[in-house]
Amino acid sequence: MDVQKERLLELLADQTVFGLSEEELMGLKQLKTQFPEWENDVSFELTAASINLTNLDISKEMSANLHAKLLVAADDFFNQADATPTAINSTPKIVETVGRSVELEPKRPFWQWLGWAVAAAACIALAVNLWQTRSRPQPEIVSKTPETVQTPTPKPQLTAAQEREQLLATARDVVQTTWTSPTDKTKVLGDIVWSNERQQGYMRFRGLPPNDPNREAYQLWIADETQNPKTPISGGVFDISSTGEVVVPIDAQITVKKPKAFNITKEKPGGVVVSHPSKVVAVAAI
Amino acid sequence: MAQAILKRIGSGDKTAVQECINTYGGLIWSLARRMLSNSEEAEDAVQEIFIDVWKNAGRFDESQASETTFVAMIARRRLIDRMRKQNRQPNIDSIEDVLVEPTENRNQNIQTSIEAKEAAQAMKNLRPEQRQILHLSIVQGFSHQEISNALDIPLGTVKTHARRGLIKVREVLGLGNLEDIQEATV
Repeated sequence: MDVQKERLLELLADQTVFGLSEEELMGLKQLKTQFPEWENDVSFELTAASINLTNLDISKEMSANLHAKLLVAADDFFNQADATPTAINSTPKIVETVGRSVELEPKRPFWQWLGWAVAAAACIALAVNLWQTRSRPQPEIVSKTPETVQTPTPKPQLTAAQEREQLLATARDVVQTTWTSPTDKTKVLGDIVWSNERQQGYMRFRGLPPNDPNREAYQLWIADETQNPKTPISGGVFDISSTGEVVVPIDAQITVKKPKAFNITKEKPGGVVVSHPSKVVAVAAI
Repeated sequence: MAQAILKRIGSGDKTAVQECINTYGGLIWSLARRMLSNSEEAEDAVQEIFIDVWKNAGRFDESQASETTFVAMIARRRLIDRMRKQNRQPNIDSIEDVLVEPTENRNQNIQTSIEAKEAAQAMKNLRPEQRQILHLSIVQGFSHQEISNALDIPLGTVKTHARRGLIKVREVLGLGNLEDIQEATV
């Protein structure tokens, strides 16, 4: 191996571990022109990544809030990719910084989106106008300022799981706690999120046994500090049809002010007005 | 199957995103928490890293590495950029705290990827000073100057140990060729 190649490897290794100075970076660029097969080499970076993974403790989980933010970021990312179909697979602009290549996605300025929106509205207006003029008897021509045609955009129907993520991402006062079995406190059945401000919340279950809707139903009870403990608030009656992950919206019958615990009981179909502790199948305390 | 996630994202399959977050969230979060000092900053970094992962998903080459290692590589790039741009210190009190030999997992067989397992084995076979410097630089995020000061050895020697150690591990992982090693260790 010649001296030049040896220097190239040294610089690639140095770049990966410590980064390079401007001068070294220039040297590396020059060497890469002599050895173009090394232009896109990531073997040193993969090696460092493997070392970085050794003995990594991955038991700490991200917060639910961060998880929700990621889902929102993913939506944004893919919506942008849909608008520019080649975004995902295209080669992003590469900008060299000291010791590292940073890939930048060109940001689309707001006015560009506005331009598209105006163009789309104009097309819709034109289409409506054409339809009206060709399908109806021609009215008398009157001088009139054309009205803006407003086409209501149908709101996408979100699943309960998506609504839950949205609540987590946008509500400021969300409390979250996990379901446990009353007989086995270590057995986690899922979690519950609740926002007092919005009076909105969702239960998420994994492994809660499906019920026969003709014979029984699950019912949520919300223990509120401001309520008599003997009369918890009913949070809705629901069925479970799958042992997989199920998200159920909470349907509180009255305003929840200070929730301190949530209980699930198994009742007759349609639910009951007063339950009994023996019927509790899952509990979640705040 | 986990290893197909990036390909699916690369081809625009939105349903793979949730799987991607579930599969690599813990990994990326752990890497971010290890290198960044506060959790808010780590949260920002995790979001940036995931976007980088989605953008680069189409570039994943399964013949080179596992998805886990590819994701860890992208995470490391972003975390180092953040540390260097903001001149941040690694997320530990002092370098003296990590000068001892790195502790192993309770169960050494538990590694996050095949490459991580092989890298752990390769690190064991390095010279102690190479292993120590690679650990301080790559795992803990210390600069060559900080390592030089802490170990009281010249900067050039720090770089040489890191370079040689990295090239050896690269070879063990099958990412380099023997010629590189022989030349670099002479």
